[in-house]
Amino acid sequence: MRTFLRMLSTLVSVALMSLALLSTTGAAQLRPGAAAPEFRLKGIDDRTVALADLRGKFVVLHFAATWCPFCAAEAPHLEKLHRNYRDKGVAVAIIDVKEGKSKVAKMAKKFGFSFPVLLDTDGSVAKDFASPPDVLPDLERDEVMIAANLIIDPEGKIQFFSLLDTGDFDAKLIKLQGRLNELLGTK
Amino acid sequence: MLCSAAASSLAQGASVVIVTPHTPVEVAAGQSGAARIRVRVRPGYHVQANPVRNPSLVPITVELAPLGGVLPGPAVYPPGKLFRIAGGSEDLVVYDGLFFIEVPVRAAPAQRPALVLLKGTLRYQACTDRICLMPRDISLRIPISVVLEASAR
Repeated sequence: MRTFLRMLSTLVSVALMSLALLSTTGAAQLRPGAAAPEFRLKGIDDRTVALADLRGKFVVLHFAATWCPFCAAEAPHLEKLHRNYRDKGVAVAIIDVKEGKSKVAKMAKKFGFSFPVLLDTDGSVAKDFASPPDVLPDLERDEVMIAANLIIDPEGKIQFFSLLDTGDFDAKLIKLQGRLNELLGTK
Repeated sequence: MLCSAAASSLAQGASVVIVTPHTPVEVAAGQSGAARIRVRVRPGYHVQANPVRNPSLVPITVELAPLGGVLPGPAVYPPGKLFRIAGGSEDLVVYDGLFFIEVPVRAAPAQRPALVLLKGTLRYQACTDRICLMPRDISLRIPISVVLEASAR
């Protein structure tokens, strides 16, 4: 009986450690310098975009939702950034979380987005990019990413990451542009 | 640790907006009354008001289904406050703290005296000045006591 209980205790410990390891996987992926999680998503134009397809470019990724006021505040600045940097080897994309195509397409048309707007309809990509459980613990993991911005370098590594929960919300993407210019070696 | 964090996140997320159960509204058959729904928003958070200025945003809404001879009308929402996100170009109209949403209710003349439970949903989308929660639904159960005309208050 004692041996059985000891074995059971060991099995439970191993299971818990595995769970803990799984739970920190997302956290490890959001360190600057860490590899960005791969994704493959269909856009509102029905074209599929994978992160792997964008290797060789700097990628500015914005996680959004049509109902998010912070995303709406950033939107015109994101389009402006795309237009200013597209000839400098920078690709911009929005990943819209948990919404249908027609709603997202309407938003994209309103803001005049000329870059890919991708549909993460089940929130699984947002979860892959999610912060550790102790960051914004009030929120579901796929909610944490909404209005977040990332820069991914040509080798697929994260070089900038901003969650919305910062002391000063950067609607005009000033900090992001500053970091992008640093990475591009431009002013 | 993952399980407790997830449970904590669900519990905390669910309590940003609380709808307080209230005593039955009395309505006489053939007459109208109003259910007053008490809504409290957690300090530090606000919800989009109704109406919103930007049609992309999710206004707070209350929908109740009719039951038998008890017919709810369109909800009446209070005036909101203006709030601007730092760096944003437009004001949002929001509610915070404690507020009330009224739903007019009419009992058909043929409705017999009864306690009728109207079911429905309150939908909201909450933010702080730094983070936003996804739109969420709260189930509503609004008791309506249909009485004979003489006994209605």
